[in-house]
Amino acid sequence: MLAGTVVLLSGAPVVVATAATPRAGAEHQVREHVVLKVVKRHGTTKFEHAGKASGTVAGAVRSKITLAHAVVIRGTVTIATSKGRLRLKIDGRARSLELRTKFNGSATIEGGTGRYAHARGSGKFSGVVNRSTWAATIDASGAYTD
Amino acid sequence: MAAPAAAPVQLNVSFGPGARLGGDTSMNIWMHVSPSLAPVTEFRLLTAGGITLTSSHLGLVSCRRPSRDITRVRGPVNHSPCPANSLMATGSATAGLRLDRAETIYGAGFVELHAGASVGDKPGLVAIVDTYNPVRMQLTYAGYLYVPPPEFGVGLAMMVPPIPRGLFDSPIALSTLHLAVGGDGITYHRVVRGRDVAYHPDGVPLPESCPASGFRFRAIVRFADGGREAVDDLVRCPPHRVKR
Repeated sequence: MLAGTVVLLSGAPVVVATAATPRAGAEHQVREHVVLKVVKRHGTTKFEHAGKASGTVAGAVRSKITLAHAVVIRGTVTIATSKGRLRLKIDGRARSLELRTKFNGSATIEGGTGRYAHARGSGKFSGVVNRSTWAATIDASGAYTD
Repeated sequence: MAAPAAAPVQLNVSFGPGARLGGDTSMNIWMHVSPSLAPVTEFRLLTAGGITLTSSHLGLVSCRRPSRDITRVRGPVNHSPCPANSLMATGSATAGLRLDRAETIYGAGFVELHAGASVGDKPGLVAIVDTYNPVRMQLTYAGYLYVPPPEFGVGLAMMVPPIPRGLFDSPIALSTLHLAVGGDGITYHRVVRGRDVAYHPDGVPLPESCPASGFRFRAIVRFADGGREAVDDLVRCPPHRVKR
């Protein structure tokens, strides 16, 4: 909804538009590229990563990922921006056992802090993890409302 | 007193010598199928909970075989059609060639299990069987890894479609299978400072803890007559790794 003010100048009405107020529940498209390096391992299946996200929501990234049954990848990814933190939950599957294993799956946007406190949405992701270094890259796309 | 009848399918799993919780080891799998059963069409191995191939360095590359090679009978070849760094297990198999109800002759072959290209949305497996008795030939089978019930680690499934009957005019039935996953028979190659270096990859990682009853493995076998058998084997807990 646009807010306006009518100003009379020299008798002619002029509408001055103020900044549009974002409508509650507006949908935002998101595309992210995330590069991660492992910072901690717990046993052979639990990993903590740190890295950077570039894209619609850019910032530092921390993640906690669990590899289950050799092919199931589940965890949370948090992107920290100057406007708040955005939290995503991922659920994916590995497609091979190669050194650079490809995986893909679904992502759920679960809110966060500040600007993203009420963000809710979903999307999909794909990525590659190096089974020697456990470094990973993820590409995700989706949409959220806030 | 009559001896107890042997189970229709028998499974025995063991770890390599010196296996320790928290360390890497080879995993030896032995399976026997009664000759009274119909030919095997599929078998699955479910590893014990916590034992997966996630952190192993086995199967670094995929062996990509054209679909026309699956169960196609090839003449004997002197080399594996798969890259060295795709090899995950070696072993042997025997199969019965059922001439008639009263007579079965047994053949034997060497088996290599390789990481394969994706099968649908699952990591694939390729088994190469080089038979040496009664005839020399090479057979290729396909399989995949899958998510097992939650109490297990990972599922390995291998499809065993029938060999074309025109070759022997008799059904062939898998009798025994032995595989050593991550054993000493596996040699990989890597380039170090421009030179090819051979090495033995680490085996299957064992978790830090073990259930009191031991690690439970399960084999599930399906047969040409629609039958299905499942059998478990419990492997005693290895000692803990000594931390230095």
